[in-house]
Amino acid sequence: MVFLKRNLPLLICFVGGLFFALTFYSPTKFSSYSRDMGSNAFNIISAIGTFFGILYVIVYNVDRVRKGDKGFGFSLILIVALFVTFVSALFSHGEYLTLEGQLSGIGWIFMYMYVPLQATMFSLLGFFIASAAYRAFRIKNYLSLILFLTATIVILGRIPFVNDLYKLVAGQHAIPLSEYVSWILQNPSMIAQRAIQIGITLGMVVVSIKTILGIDKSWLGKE
Amino acid sequence: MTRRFIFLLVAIVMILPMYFQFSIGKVHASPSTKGYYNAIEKIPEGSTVLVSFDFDPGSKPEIEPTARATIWHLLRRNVKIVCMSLWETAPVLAVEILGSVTKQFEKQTGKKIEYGKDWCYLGFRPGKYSVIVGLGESIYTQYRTDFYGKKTDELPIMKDIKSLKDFPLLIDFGAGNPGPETWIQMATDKFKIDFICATTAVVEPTYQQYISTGQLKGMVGAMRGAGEYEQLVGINDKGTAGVNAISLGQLLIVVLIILGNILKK
Repeated sequence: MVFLKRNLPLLICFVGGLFFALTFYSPTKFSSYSRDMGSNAFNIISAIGTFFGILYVIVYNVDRVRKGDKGFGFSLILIVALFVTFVSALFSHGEYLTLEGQLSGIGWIFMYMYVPLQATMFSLLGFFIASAAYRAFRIKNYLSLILFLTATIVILGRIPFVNDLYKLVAGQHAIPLSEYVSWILQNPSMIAQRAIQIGITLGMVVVSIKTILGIDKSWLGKE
Repeated sequence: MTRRFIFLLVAIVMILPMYFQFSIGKVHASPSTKGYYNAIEKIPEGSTVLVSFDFDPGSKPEIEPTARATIWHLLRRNVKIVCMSLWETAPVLAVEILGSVTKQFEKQTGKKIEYGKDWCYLGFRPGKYSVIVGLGESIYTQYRTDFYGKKTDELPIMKDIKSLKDFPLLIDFGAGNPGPETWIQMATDKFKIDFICATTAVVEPTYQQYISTGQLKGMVGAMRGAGEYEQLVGINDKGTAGVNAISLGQLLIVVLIILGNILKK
């Protein structure tokens, strides 16, 4: 059992990880074919994982409705929405468009329900940012003052009428406000971005090597 | 100042410019937006470019205006467009944008735009990185058929196209991963293809570094960039209206921070 539960997955991870990493550096037909096969296998595994995930969501929410738990109405909405979407997709053969080029059932749900709902969720961020700006951004020391001044220059420098106003005040020959914005974005901001980026990439390489070599076994779960 | 009052202020500031379409000053294009515009202007007429729609409904409001203006710009320049997606949420959005812009272009210019000859949409293909690597070897192994089920190698637009190397320019409407960074890492550097992208405000600063290295010839950042690009192309659409709304919204945030520090000390 130990072999099946721990050693075999580690072996598959080692051989698979090393093999697929090498295919990216080998421009042969065999590499291309193997990569495609690996990609398809990944999609199949993802689909199976999604199936069990959905099954668990259904079982969990049906149980909540059956017991009449607090907020069971949301579970009911989720089950109905899941069922309607599933049936629509089934009748649309999984296609967003009909043969006539019109939106199919699942295409309609996507375009007129999913798109506005997700856009609404995303746009709510704007309201919370404004509220947080008023309530949480405290200029307590010189570091927060630097942050505030830099952010203000970047924000104001990208507002059309502030740029025009700045030209009027500073004169036509003054360095445009947008140049200061570009300097901030191209220098201090980019230094930080690059440092973060290089850090993340090195971290990913280390974690990948540790996983492939079996040094990091946390993905296998507890013994 | 209550939270509700702040929310109301944000709503007013955002809705008014969008609804009444008024301008709060001349929009000046940033160097990265100019780079994006110039990269399209440089392509010889009759060339074929690859456009990847890699975004979801959440990022649609930020990227869609640029996508529309770009398709319009490419059609006006008589450039053929091969489109694809690495995001499973993108096909419906892509088909809607491509369909409506081509129809609008035909209506306004009287020029006939044919599917398969002037543009095509290959659809979504799962696999992220491996799809891009595969496209570098052969487009037809990744996309045997287009989004509508037609054989890719039978489309007239694909006559001289074998792999990524045959495109002079690659455009990505990308909101994250896989997106502009993936294209740079897996394809554009390797195959020496000019690359430009339109992206969201959240990831725009991350991609700035690729502008300074020359790996990105230009970038349109979110709604503001879309407004700048629309001005360069000479159209007045959602992007231009959005610039005014976003500018006022950001000004409100600066005012709120100052007020918050004065009133709550």
